[in-house]
Amino acid sequence: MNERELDSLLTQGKKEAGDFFSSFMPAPTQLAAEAVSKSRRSWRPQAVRRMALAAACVAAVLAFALLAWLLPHAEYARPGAQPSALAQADDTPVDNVPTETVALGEDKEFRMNHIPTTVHDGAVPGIMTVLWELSGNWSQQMAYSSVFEYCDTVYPAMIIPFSGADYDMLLIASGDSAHGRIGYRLVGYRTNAIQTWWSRDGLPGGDISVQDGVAVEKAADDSQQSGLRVTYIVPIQTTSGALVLPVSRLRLGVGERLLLIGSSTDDVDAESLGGLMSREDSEPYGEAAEMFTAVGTGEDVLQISDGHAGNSLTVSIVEHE
Amino acid sequence: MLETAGPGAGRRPKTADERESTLNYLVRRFGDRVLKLAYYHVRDRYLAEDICQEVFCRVYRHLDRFRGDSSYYTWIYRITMNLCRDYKASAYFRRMLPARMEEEVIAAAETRMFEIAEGGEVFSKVMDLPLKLRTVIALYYFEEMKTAEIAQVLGISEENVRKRLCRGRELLRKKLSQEER
Repeated sequence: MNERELDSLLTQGKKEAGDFFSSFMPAPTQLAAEAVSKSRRSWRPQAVRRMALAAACVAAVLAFALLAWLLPHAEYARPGAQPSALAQADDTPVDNVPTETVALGEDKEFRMNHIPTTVHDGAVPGIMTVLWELSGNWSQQMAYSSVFEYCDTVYPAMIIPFSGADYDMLLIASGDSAHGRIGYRLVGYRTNAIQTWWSRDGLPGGDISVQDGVAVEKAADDSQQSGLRVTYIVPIQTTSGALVLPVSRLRLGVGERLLLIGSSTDDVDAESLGGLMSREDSEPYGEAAEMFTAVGTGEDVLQISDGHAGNSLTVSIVEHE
Repeated sequence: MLETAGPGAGRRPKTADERESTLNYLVRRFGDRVLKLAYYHVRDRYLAEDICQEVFCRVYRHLDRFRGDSSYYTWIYRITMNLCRDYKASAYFRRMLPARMEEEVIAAAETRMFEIAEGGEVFSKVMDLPLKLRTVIALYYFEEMKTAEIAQVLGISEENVRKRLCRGRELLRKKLSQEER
């Protein structure tokens, strides 16, 4: 099919689109009336809702402040404890996990607690991981929290170093020992807040670690020869207009995947210059992501852009050992 | 083409009547385009209609904050894109999606309620393209937007728009050629 034929078909497609949309266009006056009506309904109680929300926030802050005071005094936790012994350990039952201190940068230190909890009206057990931002005068405020449903064990905090960016990134993970599943969150610090770059729950037979400067996810997958599907997760940060990667080179096996992931507001685009990395449909992963599968051996370069800045990642692909 | 501000251009509507008059104008002018943009993004008629309604709710609420430093058109389209992205980034699609369900969700997406409605061979093939590609293809060829406008609406560079158009055309060519055989 040549370019002219394709253009002709696209013109046909334009007509088909017009026909398709003509069947469900709401009348403009109806749409405007609905918009006004909906806005008014949400406005009147808004002041009341704001007050209720403010009261709920105050209650939550007081509750967490109480927790923050109580937890450092708990039997198993020491304030400012370094995770030295824990870092070499595997996942640990949550009751035995001391508080960890994690540093994402010179001026960005956080205390990490793991609190057994239940959700969905007590029906589902889990672990709530909380990050407290430390500042002078022993004060701390809650910077991030996330619930891992069905989990009862905790992985030590894992740092992804990012030379060239303002802050490193953090991998938090918890495990469901009864079902052999894990969940994890890849978080970073951006626009004065901890944000989630990527998260997963319920990975079967799963494992998550930091290897060679990137996160490596392994999950049980019968369709793979090895029974495991391996995904290398490369987070992307934007610093002073530059697009920063944690590594400039990576080594993959054929059949393994590579996920490039920006923060939720990024629009990541990437291209395999050598054709050895096959792009997957990124729709399940969002616009901040590009997923590739290694399909041939050799060296390839991924050209990466967020629409404003660019960078490249050299990938060496080998046969599975 | 990029639209300049509508009635009372440069002046924020103050009274309730002015606000409703401006809203009516914006809905008449951009309602169908907002709905189409949402549909290209989420591929679900009812969700697209909900998003469209929410877009104009926000437009109505924030009319007095609109500074006129961009066109109404760009402002409204950016609200639409942000709402579509919020939907995509919601817990259902990201954090609560267990590993094995990804393939099931993709398969289920192919049998969503739009499959009966999306008539036309070419249109449905364009809608089958990956999200990033189908949005630019649809906006360029079906909505006849320029690459600069598309870049502004999607918040990406013009270069990225052109790259995605190339990739989209190539992928579409393959899909349509396979159909011909």
